[in-house]
Amino acid sequence: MMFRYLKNNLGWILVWVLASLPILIWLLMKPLSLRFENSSLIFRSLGQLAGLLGMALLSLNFILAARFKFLDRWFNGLSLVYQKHHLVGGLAFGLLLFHPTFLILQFLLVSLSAAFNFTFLFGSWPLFFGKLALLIFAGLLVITFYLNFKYNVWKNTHQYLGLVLFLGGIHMLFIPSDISNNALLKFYMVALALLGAISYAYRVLFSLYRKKEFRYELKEVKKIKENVFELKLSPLGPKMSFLPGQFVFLRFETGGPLAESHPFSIASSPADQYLSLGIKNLGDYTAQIQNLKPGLICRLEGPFGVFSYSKGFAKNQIWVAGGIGITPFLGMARDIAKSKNDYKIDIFHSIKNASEAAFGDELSQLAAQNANIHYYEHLSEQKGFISADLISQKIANLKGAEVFLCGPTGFMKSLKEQFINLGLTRAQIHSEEFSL
Amino acid sequence: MTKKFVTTSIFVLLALVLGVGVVSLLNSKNTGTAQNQKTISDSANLSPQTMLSLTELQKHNSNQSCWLLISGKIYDVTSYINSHPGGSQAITFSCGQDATEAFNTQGGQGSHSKSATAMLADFYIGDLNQTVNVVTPPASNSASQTSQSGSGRFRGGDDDEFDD
Repeated sequence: MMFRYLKNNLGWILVWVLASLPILIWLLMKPLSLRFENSSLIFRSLGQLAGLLGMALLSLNFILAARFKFLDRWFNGLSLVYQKHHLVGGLAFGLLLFHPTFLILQFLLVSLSAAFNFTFLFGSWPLFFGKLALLIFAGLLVITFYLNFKYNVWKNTHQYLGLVLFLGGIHMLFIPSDISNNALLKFYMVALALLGAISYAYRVLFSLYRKKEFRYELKEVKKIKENVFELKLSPLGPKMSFLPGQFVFLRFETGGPLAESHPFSIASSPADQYLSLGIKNLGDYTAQIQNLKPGLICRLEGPFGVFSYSKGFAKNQIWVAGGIGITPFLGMARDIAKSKNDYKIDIFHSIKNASEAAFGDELSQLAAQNANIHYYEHLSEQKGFISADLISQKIANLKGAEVFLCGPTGFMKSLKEQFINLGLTRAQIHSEEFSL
Repeated sequence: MTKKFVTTSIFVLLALVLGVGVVSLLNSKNTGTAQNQKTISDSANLSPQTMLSLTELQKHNSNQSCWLLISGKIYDVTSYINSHPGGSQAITFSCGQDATEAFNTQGGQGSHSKSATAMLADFYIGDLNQTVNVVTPPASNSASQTSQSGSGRFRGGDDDEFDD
C-alpha cells in the first residue's frame, strides 16, 4: 500500500523534498533562537523563509510545465502534472508576495520612513530587480487567476514568466542575505533556478520537444455526428507507439489557429491501420476541425497518460464516459475487440440525447460482435443524471471491478464519490482529467 | 484553495504598501518637513542643553543608551540595536565611540546599502560638538529600559515612529 502510494506520487513527493531542502539548510545555518529573538528578527526570518520556499517552488514549476515524458510516469499521468503546476504556481506566487510583506513589517518596527524607503525608493539594483520580478509575476498571474482570456492569448502571456525566473534569480543571487552568505544554500538555489531555466529553454525558447514529434498526414475527416469528427492519420515517418486510451498533443503544419497545439485522446487501437482522434466542436480551435482537408500534415507530441485499461489490475472493468469522453474508451474497445483478450468490459455512455451519442453505432456493433463487451447508452435528458447506483444494477460483482471515468470534471468527481460510497477504494477508480 | 491563498497574499501586500505610502504622505504634509530632516530647534525649552561632545558620546556606550559617531554626526541607535540585520553585537561593539569606519565598511564586509544609510538618518540627534536639547539623561541614571523607545529622546523632527 505504502509502496504503491510512493510509486504513484513520486513526482509530488520529490517536489516537496527539493523545495524543503533550502528551508532545512536555513534552519541549520544559525541557532534558531537567534532567528526568532525579537519581533523584528521574527519578521525578517519569516520574510526569508517565504522568499526561499517561494523561489524554490517557482524554479521547480518550470520543470513541471515542460511536458517531459518522465513527469507523465512520476505523477501518474500528465494531466495531474498540470494540476500540480497550477497549485505550485499559486503557492509560489503567494509566498513570494509574503516575502516583501514580512520585510516591510520588519522595517515598520524601525520606523515609518524606513518602511517607506524600502518600499518606494530604488535602493539598489538587486532590490530593484526583485521588485520588478514580483510586479511582472503579479501582472501575469492576475491574468491567469482572475481574467478570462482566450486560451491562446493567455498562453502567450504565460510564457513571459521566464522573465520572472531570470530577474528573481538575479535578485536572489546578489541581494545581501543568507543565500549570498552561505555557499551551500547559494549553490542549491542557483542549481534549482538553473534546472527551471533549462526546462524553460527546452520548452519555450528553443521548442526542443519538437525533435521528438511524430509527423502524420491527415487521410480522412469522418463526420460522426453534427459536431463530432474522427480524424484518421497516417504516419509520414516513424510510427508512434502508444497504449489504447493515451492522448497526444496535436498541431497542424499550417498557419492560423490550427497551428496551436491541443490535447486529444487517441480513439484507435495500436493495431488499427490509422491513428484516429475523436474531436468535438467545443471552442475556437475545435471549431476549425470541420475545415480540415485530407492531405494536411500534422505533428503529434506524446503519447501521454496512464489512462489505459491494461494499466488496471482487474479484468472486469466498468467504463463510464460523459459526452465526448467516450474517445479514449473507443480506442480501448477497438483494441480489446482486435486482440480478443479476456477483459470483460461494461461501457456506460452518458449523453444528453441520442443525437449526442458519438460513436454509439460503432460501439453497439463491437458489443454485438464481442461477448465480453457490453455497451449501454444513458440519455440524461430522459432519465436524469447517471449514477453509480444505476450502473451497479447492471454489474454482477461491483466490488471486484475497476472503474474508469472520462468526462467533464464535475461528472467524474461526483461519480467517483458515489462509487466510493458503494464500497470501492480509490485505487479502483481511474479518471482522466481533460481540463484544469 | 490556491486562489484564496493568492487573493489573500495580494490583498495583504497591497494594503501594507498603500498604508505605508498614504500615511507617509500625510505625515510629511503634517510636519511640513522631509522625513529625514531632524535639525534641532532651539531655545524656548525647559530641558537642559547638552553639548554633543566626545565626553558626552562616551557616556552612551551600552545597550541601554547607545550613541554612535559617524562622519561627524551623532546618532542615537538604542532602539535599533535589536533590528540590526548584522546582529546586535555589531552595533553594541561601537556604542559610545566613533563608528565611521565600521559603518562605512559594514564591519569590514563591504558597505551598507543606500536604504541602510537612509535609515541611519532617522537616528540623527545632532552634529559632534553641537548643543542640543536632550530630554532624558544618559543611561547610567536612566530608568527607562524598554528596547523600543530607548532612553535618549530629542526635540525637533518627528518622534511619531516611537509612539504607541
